[in-house]
Amino acid sequence: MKVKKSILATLFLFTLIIMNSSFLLAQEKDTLLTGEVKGVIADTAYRFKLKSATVAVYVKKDSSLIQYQLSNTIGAFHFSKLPLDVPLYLVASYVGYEDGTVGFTIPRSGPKTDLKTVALRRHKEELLPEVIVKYIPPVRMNGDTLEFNADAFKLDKSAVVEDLLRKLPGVTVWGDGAITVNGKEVSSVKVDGKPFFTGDPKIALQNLPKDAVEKIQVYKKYQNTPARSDSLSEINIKLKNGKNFGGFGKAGVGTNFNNRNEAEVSFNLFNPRSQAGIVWAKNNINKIPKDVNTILRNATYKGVSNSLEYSPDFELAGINQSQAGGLIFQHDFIAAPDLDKNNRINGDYFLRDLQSELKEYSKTRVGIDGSNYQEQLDTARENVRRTNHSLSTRYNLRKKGKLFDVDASFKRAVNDRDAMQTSSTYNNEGYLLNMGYMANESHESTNSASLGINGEQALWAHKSYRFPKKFTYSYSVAYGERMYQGIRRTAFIALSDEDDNRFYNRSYNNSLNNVDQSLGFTIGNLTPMLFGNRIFSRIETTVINDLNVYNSNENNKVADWDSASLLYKKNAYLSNKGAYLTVTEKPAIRLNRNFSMNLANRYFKTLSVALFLRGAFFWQKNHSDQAFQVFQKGYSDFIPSANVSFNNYQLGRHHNVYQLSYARTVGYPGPAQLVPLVDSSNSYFIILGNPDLKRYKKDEISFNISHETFAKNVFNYAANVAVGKVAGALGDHITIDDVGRREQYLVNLNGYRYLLAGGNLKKLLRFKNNQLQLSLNGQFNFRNSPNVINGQENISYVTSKDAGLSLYYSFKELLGFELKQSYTNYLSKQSNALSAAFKSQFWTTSFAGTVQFTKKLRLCSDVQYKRNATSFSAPINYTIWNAHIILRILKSNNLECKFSALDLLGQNNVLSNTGHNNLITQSLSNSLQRYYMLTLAFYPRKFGKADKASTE
Amino acid sequence: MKRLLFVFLIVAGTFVYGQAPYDEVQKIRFDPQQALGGDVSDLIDSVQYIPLETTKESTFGFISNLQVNGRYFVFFDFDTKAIYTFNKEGKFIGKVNKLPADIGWDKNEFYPLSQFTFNKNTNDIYIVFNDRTKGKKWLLQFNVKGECINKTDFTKIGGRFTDRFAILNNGSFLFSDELFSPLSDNQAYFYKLKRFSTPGERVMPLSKNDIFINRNAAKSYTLSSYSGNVSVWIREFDYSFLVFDSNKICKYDIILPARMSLDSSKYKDPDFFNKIETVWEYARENKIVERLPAIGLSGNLLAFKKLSGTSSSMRDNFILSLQSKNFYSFDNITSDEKSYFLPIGSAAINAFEDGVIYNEVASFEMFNAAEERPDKPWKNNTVLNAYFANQNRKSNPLIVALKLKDDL
Repeated sequence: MKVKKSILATLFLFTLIIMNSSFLLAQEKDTLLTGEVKGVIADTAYRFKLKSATVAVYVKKDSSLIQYQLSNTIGAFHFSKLPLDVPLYLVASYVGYEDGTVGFTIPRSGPKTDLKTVALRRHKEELLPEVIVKYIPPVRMNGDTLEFNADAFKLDKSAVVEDLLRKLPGVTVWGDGAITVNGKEVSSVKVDGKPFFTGDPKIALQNLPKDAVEKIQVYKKYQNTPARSDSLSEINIKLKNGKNFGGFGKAGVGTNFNNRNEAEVSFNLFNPRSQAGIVWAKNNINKIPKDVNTILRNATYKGVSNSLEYSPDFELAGINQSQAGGLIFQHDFIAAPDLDKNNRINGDYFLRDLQSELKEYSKTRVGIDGSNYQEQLDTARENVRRTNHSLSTRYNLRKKGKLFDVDASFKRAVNDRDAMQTSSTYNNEGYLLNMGYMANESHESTNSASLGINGEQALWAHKSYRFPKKFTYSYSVAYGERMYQGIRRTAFIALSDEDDNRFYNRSYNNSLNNVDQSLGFTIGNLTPMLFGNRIFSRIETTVINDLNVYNSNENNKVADWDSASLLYKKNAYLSNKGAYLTVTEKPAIRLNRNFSMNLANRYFKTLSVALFLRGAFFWQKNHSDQAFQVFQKGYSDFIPSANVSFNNYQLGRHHNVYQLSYARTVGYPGPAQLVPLVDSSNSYFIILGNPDLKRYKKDEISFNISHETFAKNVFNYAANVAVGKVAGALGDHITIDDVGRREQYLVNLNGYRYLLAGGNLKKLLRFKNNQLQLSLNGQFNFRNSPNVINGQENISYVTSKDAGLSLYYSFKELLGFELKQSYTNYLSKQSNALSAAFKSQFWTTSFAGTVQFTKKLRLCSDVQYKRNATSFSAPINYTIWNAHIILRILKSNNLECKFSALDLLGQNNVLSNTGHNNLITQSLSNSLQRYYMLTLAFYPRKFGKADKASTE
Repeated sequence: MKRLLFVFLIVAGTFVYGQAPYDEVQKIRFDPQQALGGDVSDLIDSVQYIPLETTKESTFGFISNLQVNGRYFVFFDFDTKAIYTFNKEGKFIGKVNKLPADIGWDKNEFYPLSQFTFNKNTNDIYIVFNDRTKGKKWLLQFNVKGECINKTDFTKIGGRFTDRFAILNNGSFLFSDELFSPLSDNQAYFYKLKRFSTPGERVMPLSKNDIFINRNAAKSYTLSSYSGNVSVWIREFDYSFLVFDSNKICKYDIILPARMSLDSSKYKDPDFFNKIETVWEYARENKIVERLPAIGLSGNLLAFKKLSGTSSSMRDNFILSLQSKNFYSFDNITSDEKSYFLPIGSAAINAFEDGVIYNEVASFEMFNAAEERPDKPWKNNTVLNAYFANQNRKSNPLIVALKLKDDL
């Protein structure tokens, strides 16, 4: 605790010093900037003022931009806080006009200067797009699109697009990477109208050099919804001609010259029509990428900031060695795609090989009744090698009146596992009840392939209004197969009665294949066709249908070791061939009505009411060599849902959305719950079946609210709450015997209820060059979960709470700090089991900071204090402190030298708490421990044709 | 040779002095890019801001089809689906938001209300309604308070339906041939009806050489604006204004730059020109002007719009002096001290009557502009002082009345 306090105090003091220095410097500068200049931009030949003309003020000496603005509705401009006694010049520009330039100096004696009318002349001839414009205005309104011209902003030579975005008024780059424009979150960042590689904004924003950008376009994309206010903000990065092709990447290697190493390569090429990339990463420091995008977005030229993403994961159990690689490609068949016109194919391939060595110690408390409980202690060791291949491609076609998408994927996973576990169980008086041992060696491979087609077709566009105008369809098919070979050896020794001892040496050779097909369509609006134009004309009627067919076949060959013959002999019970088929048909009619209440220039309000009248017809059939597993069942249910949403857009102020929904869903038990083949080789936990199980029905009501503020200082929040009950829920029926064995099967129980609530809030405060971002989020879950323990009905009252608060402060690009506090609480009470509740709590307090000392030298550090406590063990506290010093060298800053110190205090632990009804488990695993690493990385980059300026 | 010359002169003279039935034909060149502008003080004699009373009953969204006489403002609002009447001081008088149920009107049918005509002599509001289920046509008359005072069945007049007509000072109605089915050789471009119950007098017989009448639709003239005995009529892709002033018919041909007008070869191609959908599609793809609706004609000043497709902005609104041939884009008129540096319009010129332009300005725009003027140039204007003191951004829009100078 003392160490933690002193570290946090030092860092806090350091931050204060840096912040005060920047404030002092800013104040000193302020006293010299009191000049003002005003005037009017006009077309004097035709005698009118020019509105929204771009006006910019530069220093004459070096042409550095001081300020810029658009002229107002009367063509006037007004700049303040300009330097005195310094030669300046003003440039006014407007589409179709020659630029106007006026030189001036604001004297100290008269700090307000009036330039009167700045006259612009029209171009003599109509300009062709290829004419090179000598002057680049910083900003321009082009219809509804706001365009920022990149060359008007002088930044460091190594600046990337993200650095430019931070300079643009109204644009906020949040600590978590999100971007908002005047409070509205940007839904996507495109490059020349197309997604850039995986479409992750970070790849474009942190790789593309600012010098390759012609302009940043900010615009709204209106959605085809009843609410007139529904729009998405998008950013498009338009590259300069001649710079819209190139390549970038990273090649890095790190080592601690002992037992920790990492290497990473990424190489990407693009041109106006195509993009391709290749990545590879290998390490034994718990950096495990889940896809190509993870590697790409963390191999950007700008490098690591405060984010802890894709860093060595000290919370990951075990020591993990990962090797991963992949390819990504995209090709556009048309040169200039947009929302309504697109013809694109893209895809990626990802391979990951992960070797994990895990050691785990866990303690599980199982409540029985009254004050009786049992406690099981386990020690486990596991070596696993997982190799995953994933290949996916997508084709998108958009034309007027037509939409067509095809998705295809192939995945293969191979897992080799060697695991061993020893267990012992005690009763609440501390007496040892049993000891056990289990060893597993297995090889498992799964292959899956899927194909999905979605389409939308406009219908009868020129025909009678009575005909429905749109038809959508979707079809998907997935094939999967699984092969499992393994040997399991178990021993169970009951101390009270040796007749309860069990020993198994069992081999498995199981295979399963399945095909899952779904077909769906919607057609609407059918109201005019069914009822004419007058009756119910405002109610839209849409017919929807979803059909799913699932088919699986399994062939299990299980054998037990025969010590007499020293061979594995077939286990006739567990060796089995089976086939399972389900058909689910869900037809529905959707009725919806929209009410709009609009008052121009004040508000847009839309109320939408939708009712889904849906049926669910489910049929299942199981065939097996074992007679008791043969069954056939069918169900039919009415599963309606309804939705009411209210959208309130108040012009210039805020946008609120309220939504109330009700839905009924149905779940069906399968062969694994109804009639499984019981494998008793794990004596601690035996799963039985219940052929009398029926389907369950869930009814849920949910309410959501969201609020966006359109103000300079963003204030957005969202909240949701859902309550539900499940009739005939599948609850646990558990029998725990005196020697510590558990048998379990499912039963239908009534009384399952739950409540889910959550919310988040974001607030931004901007003052001068400082920015403070506040984020708050919370989640609350409560459920009444009925179950049966040793023949007695019981209800588990389970509550879990998550809350997090983060404060992010930044000062220009020089400083960035984040303070986070999170708390997780789990509480489980039993109605008739333990009188004391099971509780677990987890606190994390973290502080992360980045200081950019010079353009080439940066320091990053993060400290996390963690506290883990359960109701049956002493709290465990530990602190993890990481620090990195990053130095960029070479003229273009594309050689990086990084020294990292991870887990400086050597306190890392991987602790986890899990709970389920009447049991709670606390586990401690082996984990990555303190190490130091030196990493070198090179970022090759080339944009456009070879010249000294762009080749690096 | 002399005979040929004589014939030529006669023919040329016919063309120079106007083809019958026009009393006068003028050609005016109009290039929107050459439109002039200026400050309010340069072009406007007086400016008056008229806040429109905001009450629960009188709150509306935005103004369309504004019609003005000496006493009232009458307009339709697409947000609340009603016709509103305010007096010239901005006081709310009444509204029409429904038609009699016994004529087969459904409450969702607001379009007939939006096409109302205001009788500027009697202060009555006329709405024409077509009951398709019974095949009847009705003319409904409302007073400014919104009360229905008369309804006339004019089913027997004309074979077709139209809701556009001018009301002349003598109480007769001027319709285009949209109302009438083609009769044999007696068809005319226009008809004057004294009452809605009797067929009217033919005005301007159809010319069989007129290529417009062979089109599948949009073949007739439609009313663009009217005031007193002066009405202005236009046709799609006919870049001209047909002006009726009492018994005089004047035609003003507007000559647009080639890049924004339909090429002459297209007019001569019946396969292309006779199908209006084809022409519209071509015009939209090539950004060609489709029509020039007149907003109003007062003395020598004509206010009109240039329309390509369905969207337009203040940039497409112009004022033309038929005398000096100068034309101004309203977007190029800049507010100054005369208009207190406040907005003088929004998306379009709403009405032009007796030399005064009437524009709607949203309260939200007024307050935004006022925030930028801490010096409050309007501080001596009692109406504006009261407005800013008592109203807010959500109040009803204002109407700004701009009296144009005569010597534009």
